[in-house]
Amino acid sequence: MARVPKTEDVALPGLRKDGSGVASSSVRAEEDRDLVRRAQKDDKLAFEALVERHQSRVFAVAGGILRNREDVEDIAQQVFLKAYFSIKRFDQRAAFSTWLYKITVNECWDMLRKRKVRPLVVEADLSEEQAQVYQASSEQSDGRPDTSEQLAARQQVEELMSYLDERDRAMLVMKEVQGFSVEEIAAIMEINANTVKVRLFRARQKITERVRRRRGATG
Amino acid sequence: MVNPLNRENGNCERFRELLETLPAGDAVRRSIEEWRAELPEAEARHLGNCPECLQALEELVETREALAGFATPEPGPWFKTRVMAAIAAREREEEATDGVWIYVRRLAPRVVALSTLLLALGGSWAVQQRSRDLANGNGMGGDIVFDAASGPTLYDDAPVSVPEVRP
Repeated sequence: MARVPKTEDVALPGLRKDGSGVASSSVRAEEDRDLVRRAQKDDKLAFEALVERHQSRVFAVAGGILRNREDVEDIAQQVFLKAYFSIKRFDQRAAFSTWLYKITVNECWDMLRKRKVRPLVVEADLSEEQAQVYQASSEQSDGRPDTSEQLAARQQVEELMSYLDERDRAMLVMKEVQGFSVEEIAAIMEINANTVKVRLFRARQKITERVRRRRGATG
Repeated sequence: MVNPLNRENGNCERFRELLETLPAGDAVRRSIEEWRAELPEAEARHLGNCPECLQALEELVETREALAGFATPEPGPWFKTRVMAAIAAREREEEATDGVWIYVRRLAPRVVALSTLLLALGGSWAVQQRSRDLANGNGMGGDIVFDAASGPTLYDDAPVSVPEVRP
């Protein structure tokens, strides 16, 4: 499974004692602020650096909502274009990353609204030919061919996720796969942190229930 | 989420808070026992007494296990180049559009002046034409809309001699 490099490490009270994660995240945030200031003065290299630093997480956020690789790539490009042309209006009251991921989420919802298609493609629903195309696109994504085990695992995950509401699915992926904090998710989705917690709790319950049912069915 | 009858509600809340901060995306999959071993002493003790919190931890661990096969798309090596090229193309496009607008803006006063002149000339020509028509019509200007057609009036009840048709 591809892991997403984090822009900010998650601080874990009680488990991590040195606080180095918090320090590195504040350094990164400060670097971001500086790059944004330069980008606001039409420094293209600074914006390029911002793209470099945030592209993985923009892909990850979009990938939690949309499952078609081409769509994710198009949305990611659209997000950075939007960010570039509106960066002068960005007042840096929020972190650049939060602002960028908020644009990402909104762009994804817009795309889904326009298309009115299912965001997650369950491979079991695909024809053989479509599945091959889908597989080929994911092979292209990380340069490594998928083994049948990996494909089966992914199929299972996507089948499980198809039982969740779009927003819950996005939150769950952001939280449990990509390591966003509850506060970050709340800021990106523009909802209360407690609502995020409740929805995550319910989403986990649903997933566990499905997993157990499946386990029971297979013996 | 939290049982209101549970005396350890405060601990439950603290535990749930802690649960949300457990780092995701660890390379090594951990069992509940491994997580429990890493918990601070108070939380580990609470876990032994609270079946709801134990269930919440189990759900978290099982969900993470289930999502381990989730494939996150990653940007290709040329993504940044593609973005910067798209930005450059959009900027060129906007410059071209701006160029047209600048040209339009520069020409706008002349276009307005020319239109005003044409309107004035056209208007005066129309007025002159009208005056000429009035003069030609001896003061009876205007089109006569209801112009009675001059011709023989036929009355049905008029005594007209009709030639008798005889067989």
